[in-house]
Amino acid sequence: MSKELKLVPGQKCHWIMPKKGDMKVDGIVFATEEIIADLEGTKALWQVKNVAHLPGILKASLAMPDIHEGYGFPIGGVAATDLETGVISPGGIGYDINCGVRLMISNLTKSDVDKHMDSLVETLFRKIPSGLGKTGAIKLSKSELSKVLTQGATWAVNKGYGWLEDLEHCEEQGCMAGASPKNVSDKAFSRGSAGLGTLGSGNHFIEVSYVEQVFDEEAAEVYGLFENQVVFWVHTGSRGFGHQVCTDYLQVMRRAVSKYGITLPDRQLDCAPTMSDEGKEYFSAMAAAANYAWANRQILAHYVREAAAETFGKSAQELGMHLLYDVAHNIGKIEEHQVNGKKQKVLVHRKGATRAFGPNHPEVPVKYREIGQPVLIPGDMGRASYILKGTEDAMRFSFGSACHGAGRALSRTQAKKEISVDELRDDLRRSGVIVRSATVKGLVEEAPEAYKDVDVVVEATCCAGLAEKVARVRPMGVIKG
Amino acid sequence: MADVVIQAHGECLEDVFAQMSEGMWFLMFEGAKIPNVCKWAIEVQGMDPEELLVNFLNEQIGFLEVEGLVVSQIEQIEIKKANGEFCLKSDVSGCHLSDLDVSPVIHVKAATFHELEVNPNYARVTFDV
Repeated sequence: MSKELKLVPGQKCHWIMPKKGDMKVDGIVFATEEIIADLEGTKALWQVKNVAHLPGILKASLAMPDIHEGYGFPIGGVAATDLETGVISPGGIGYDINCGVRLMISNLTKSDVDKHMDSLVETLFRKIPSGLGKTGAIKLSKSELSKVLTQGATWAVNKGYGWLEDLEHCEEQGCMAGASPKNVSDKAFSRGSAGLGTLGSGNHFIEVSYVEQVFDEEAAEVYGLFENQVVFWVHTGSRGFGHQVCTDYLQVMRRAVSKYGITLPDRQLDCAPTMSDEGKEYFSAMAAAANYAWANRQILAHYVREAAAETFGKSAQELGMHLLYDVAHNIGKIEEHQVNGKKQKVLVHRKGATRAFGPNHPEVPVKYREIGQPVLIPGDMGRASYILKGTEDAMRFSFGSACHGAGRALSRTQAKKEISVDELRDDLRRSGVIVRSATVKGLVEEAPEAYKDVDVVVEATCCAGLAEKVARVRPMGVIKG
Repeated sequence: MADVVIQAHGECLEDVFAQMSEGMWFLMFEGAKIPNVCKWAIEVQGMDPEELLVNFLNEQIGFLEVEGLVVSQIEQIEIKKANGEFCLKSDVSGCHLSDLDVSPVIHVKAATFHELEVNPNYARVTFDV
């Protein structure tokens, strides 16, 4: 299928999949030739094509350079639909609604932290519940959980988890408008009642890294980054709560597809008109799950600050552990974009894609507005991660979106077959990375070899104009779910 | 992407559902022995057998997350169609996570509709792990 792709004239790293059959728009894949070649034999490009069938889709079905096979949508997929005439699809947002990343800076340097790494990792592992079935210390009644669903990270800050200034540096200030707990099932409430303040399993992690290289001094200064600085990552989402919301509404959407006479090539793309009752109800439940995830990352960031304070004998304030940014990469957002020369409101589905708004956008925090939004790209636990900045071109080409990570190269099953846990631990320790994991299997599934090289993905993202490099960081210690 | 696919064969739809459930729990605990300490009932609906199976499996995942209940055996399962909806009633036995000296090896987060196939003698489910 990759043979169907042609380079867009005048653009590097923009590949077009021309509209044909019942496709409503073209597909566009942002990638290098090497990445495109690697997609051959997977269903990822077929999924880009399927997404192009969604009613009301605008411009193109888009795929970021970390594209790989997902459910319905490819991971790394972006689709904007007309708010009035288009659809909303839970499959375009994912099961883990508002899975996302936050990054905290510090005034610690690598040499300050090196000799304390074992202790820091152990303290993080002790403080942060991770893995299947682990519940946190926070147990909420239905009425209190309803407050989380409407207030998001603000609820957590008001309860003492973090600082007021954190909210300013979250996408949506950590609270998405339009959330409605009444459109959330009792099952979702049950699954969400004890999940806050937990990391979960799979690819979720807490990571301690240091800034290895700064590419853009001006942006790094504004973001508060400098070489050898230690930074802290939190990657998690809405846990079982978000999964239940997605599961519940996939059923609603199945019925809506029949009711509204929508024809789709894949059941996992089921959808409803965004302005229908079903569409509005899903949006409000999805926003509630997004707020749950922002509250969760806020609480985990608080635990990370506590762990650092305990390890270094100084308060988190003294350690300068400010929030650089928190960004979602599985979400549906109502945004204003230029379409065919006119500004219009659209529903942007980002499924494994990061918002990457360029300079002077009003939704970028004031502190970063002249530079552009920080775009956080975690790589893998052995090599590197990146801090990028959003661009004007991203606004033109990708509805202000960029990649969200390295993207898997091996399936979880393949990783378990091919990678030895003892060798992995030894390799990581030799490269200076200390790892704690809830399960041995979980660790192997997330081995560096299981992921594409994030350097390649980031180069392609920058080549396509979707973001620009600010800094590259290297892992020092990782807690895996 | 999570990539665990389970295929189940059976003599009838009920048997296929029971086999698929067994496969899911085998995946989570890698075949560790789960004792029969308690019993509980599961009741789900679906507009077609596909949705019914996904709901049946997700209901069990929900019980695990919320109540800590681990299924050892499908004791009884009945599927009926009424008023255009499929209904499933099942009695299952198993234990609480705290009764086990092993932990789940794989966290199955959801049964999905991705490339889902269900017929009276066969089913194929992709699990999000």
